[in-house]
Amino acid sequence: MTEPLLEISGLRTGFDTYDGRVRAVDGVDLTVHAGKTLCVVGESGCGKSVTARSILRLVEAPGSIDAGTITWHGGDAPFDVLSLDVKDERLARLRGGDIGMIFQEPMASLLPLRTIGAQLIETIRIHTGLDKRAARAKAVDLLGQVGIPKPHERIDAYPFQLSGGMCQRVMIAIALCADPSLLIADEPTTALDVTTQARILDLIRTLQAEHRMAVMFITHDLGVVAELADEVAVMYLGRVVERAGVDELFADPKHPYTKALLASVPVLGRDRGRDLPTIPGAVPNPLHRPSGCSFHPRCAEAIAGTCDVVAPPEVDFDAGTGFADRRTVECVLYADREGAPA
Amino acid sequence: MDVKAGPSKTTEGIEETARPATASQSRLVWWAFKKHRLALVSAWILAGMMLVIVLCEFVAPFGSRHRDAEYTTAPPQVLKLWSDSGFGLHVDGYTSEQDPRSLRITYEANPEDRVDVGFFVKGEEYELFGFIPWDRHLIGPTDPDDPMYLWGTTTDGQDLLSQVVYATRVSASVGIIGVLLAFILGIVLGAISGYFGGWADNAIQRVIELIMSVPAIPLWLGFAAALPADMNPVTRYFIITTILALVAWTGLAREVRGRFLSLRREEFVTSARLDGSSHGRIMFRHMLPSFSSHIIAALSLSIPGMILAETALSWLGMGLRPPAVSWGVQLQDASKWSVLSGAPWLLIPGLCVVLVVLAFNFVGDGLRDAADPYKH
Amino acid sequence: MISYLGRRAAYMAATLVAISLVVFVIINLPPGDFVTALTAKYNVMGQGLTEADIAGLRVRYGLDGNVFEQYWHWVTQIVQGDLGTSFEYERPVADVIGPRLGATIGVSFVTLLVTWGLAFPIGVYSAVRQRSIGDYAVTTVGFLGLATPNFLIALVFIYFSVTWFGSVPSGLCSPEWCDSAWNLGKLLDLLGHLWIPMIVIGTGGVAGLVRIIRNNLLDELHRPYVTAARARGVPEKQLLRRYPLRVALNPFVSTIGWVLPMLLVGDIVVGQILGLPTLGPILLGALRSQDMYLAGSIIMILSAVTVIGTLISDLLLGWLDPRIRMGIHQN
Repeated sequence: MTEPLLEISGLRTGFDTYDGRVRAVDGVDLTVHAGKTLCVVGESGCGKSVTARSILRLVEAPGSIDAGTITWHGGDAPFDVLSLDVKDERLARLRGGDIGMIFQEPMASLLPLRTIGAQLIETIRIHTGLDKRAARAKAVDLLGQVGIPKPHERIDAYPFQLSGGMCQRVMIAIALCADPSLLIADEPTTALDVTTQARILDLIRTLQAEHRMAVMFITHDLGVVAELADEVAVMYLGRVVERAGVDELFADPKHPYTKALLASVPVLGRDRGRDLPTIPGAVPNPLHRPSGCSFHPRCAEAIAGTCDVVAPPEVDFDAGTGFADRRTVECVLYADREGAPA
Repeated sequence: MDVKAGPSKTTEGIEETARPATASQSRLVWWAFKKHRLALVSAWILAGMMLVIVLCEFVAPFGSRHRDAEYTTAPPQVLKLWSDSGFGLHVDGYTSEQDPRSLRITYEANPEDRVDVGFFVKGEEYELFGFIPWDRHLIGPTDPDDPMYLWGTTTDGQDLLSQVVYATRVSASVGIIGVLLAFILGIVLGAISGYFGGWADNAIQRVIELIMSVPAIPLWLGFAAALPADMNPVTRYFIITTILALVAWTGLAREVRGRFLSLRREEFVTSARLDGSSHGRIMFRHMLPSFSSHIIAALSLSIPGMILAETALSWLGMGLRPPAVSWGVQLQDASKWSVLSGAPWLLIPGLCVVLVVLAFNFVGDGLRDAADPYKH
Repeated sequence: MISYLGRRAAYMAATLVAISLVVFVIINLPPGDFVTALTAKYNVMGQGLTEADIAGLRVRYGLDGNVFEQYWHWVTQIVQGDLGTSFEYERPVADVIGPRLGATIGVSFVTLLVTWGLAFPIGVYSAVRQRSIGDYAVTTVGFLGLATPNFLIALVFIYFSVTWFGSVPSGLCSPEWCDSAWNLGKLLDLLGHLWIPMIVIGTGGVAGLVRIIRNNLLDELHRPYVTAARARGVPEKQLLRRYPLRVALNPFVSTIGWVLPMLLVGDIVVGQILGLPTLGPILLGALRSQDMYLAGSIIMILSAVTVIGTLISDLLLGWLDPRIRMGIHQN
């Protein structure tokens, strides 16, 4: 197993609304290993994006991070990102330097009034201290790397002159400008059409190999997970409910929610002529979180009197093997399994 | 057949928020509105103003033509409950003194001269709502010939309080009627523009842009000045209101158009069309109700501009003219600095302008925010 | 850019034509025309005019043809710089207006600069520090400023000026400086006189602009591009300046269109109360006495200045925003 690069532990992030505080992220533990890809998967509203934003401290009012630690191991000495002062240089180096981040809406993530070159060069100069000419040369080079044709011309284009896919490539170029050791991709292909999606995924995979960086990929698309992930974390209503290597997860899903998610993905041939199973109901409003296990109202295997009362234990299938926390499930069904904590 | 367009559209979004799942849109808007305390207070102020407008003859202590040559530019009196002659609501009368050189009369409160004040007192006769003859006034001197000038008097010796009450009816109604006129124009043209699109939209938009790029106030001034000076006050009132409305409809039309544009492709519109509803029915029975709170907010926010314009026009002598009385007309009294320096209470109509304009703005803002329950 | 420029210029021309039509209507609204008024005046003075005299006058003033010919005559004269004759002053309108145009534009321009200079930082502060005490203060004063007619502000000013100092500062210069050549003393004197009209005229504008800046910036501050820029390490101050402020500048620039007329009308009001040597009092006098050529010309000039202001703001917008420059519609 490789070194942990980023360790999130007990993260809680909430938002103040008129009706009370919404706990969007409610105690999340995640680990990203150097050079590996972690996919965080879940329905919309499960807190996966907020988790990603919390890492770079991008959560804006009325939201704020309430508790937890986010430890960065990529530097000389590990430090907790959440305890840094906003003006701390280490945070500045993390944002766009050690960690690059791309977003769901590439077009809206670029300022329409400035050329993509201006925004790219600006970032290069912030993190590398190159002079204008060298930064421009590097910018052209980066645009070429991310597969933008005629980069020396396109560098002076405005975002609205490019397609969504091209804008996402520009965002990736910006994210790569200081050779980050981690790329956080927050649903980067959701807003793109299927062909473009596939190309962007290819690009990310290629670049990951070239730059030997870790990727934390936020998505709701299990197809993307199968294609990219080394490890997977399944999130539901602000919590990680299952954690596994990608092959294990698809071969042997443990949590009823994961099982239901996998069952609702169509498989070519198998599902011909039959209705796809769906998960009944919708993700509940986090303001009115169901008691006990928050998934129990939608769970096919829920045990009345237990699941709606007691918060489920986190069962670690690798406890005591030295690979602790690699395969975990948060569900009572496995509470009596071997290796479960006492 | 009669598809309730508005609510059905909103409830679909609400289901996730569990609790208010069954609330109608007007309910939702009201809940959100109540959270704006300033808007709520303003709404009460406006409600009070409406009462004053409807009942102004009753609210005003004196009739609109009441004039007391004995007390010109007399200062406001203070309501008292207790004096040497015993308990009871009263004000002090005046003693006057004339400066022999400037001929200026100054008034002092005279505690010896007690003017008893009562509620629902008999006073000048009037016709409530224009047809119910009555002679009671909300507040007034028990002897109608006694001086009771709570807000002082004007340079003509008229009771400022009564005059402000009458002016409220005129000034506020110019705003409200003007906006309603503008609204009719705006909603018809905005609806056509936004619903049908195409060349009609193009033409209407160009016209609106043109009107908007012409500076409004000099035009108002020009039109108003071209009116004959001896025009009957009622006609003048309606013409001035119409002039204001003719310039102000463009903003509303844009708002309406934007709403229609965004709704045009909604499913409930398509289904109404497939049901065979006529265009007019779709526009005004299905689409319009679904953004009525936005419209009310826009209306509320347009009224202040009207009121301010009328006030400025009348103050400049280009709008309403005496004997019509509006806040702007009243403030003419205060524009000579020699008068104003001795009689600051003449600025009270100005305070009314500020208060009412603020109230309309706050109510409009509150409604606009409340009309989008999901924005926050 | 060229096609954008061309379109805006064509648009301006169309607007000017529309305005000229409206002004022409205004001039002709009161019963009778210039010659009828003149005839009546001569009659009062006991100098009866013959039918031939009257017909001659009509030809001279271009009032002999039908409405369209009259309009054409009037417009061509204006284009040639002849604004007609003032009935009250019995002089060409241009001579009446000329000396005062400078003061009007001067006062308005200085006020415009001060208005912007104040509104921009205040609006930005108010948005960036949303919900701070400063923001609440700014918002409250802004609401009041927008709700108060500027003549009322002037009246309040005058009241306090009289009760505290016993006099009202009027005009643009004190008697002892008025005729002297320009020097520091005169400049200071001018500034001493200018601040009151500036406050009175500018308050509404500042309040309106602050509100616009604040609302726009508040919208922009939470856009994805701001988060994205923060995520790539752009320092906060640079981020504010180069990203949301750039966008919030657009609506600010496009306000010239309504700030200018607001200032010019403010001048009508303030000029009246404070006795400024500007166009305002003349326009008012002309409107009151239905001296329509004079009034119409002044309205025409004010409108033209506004339209030119709008054109300037359109050009600035095109310069600031590539989408506008390239003719791409923002949704």
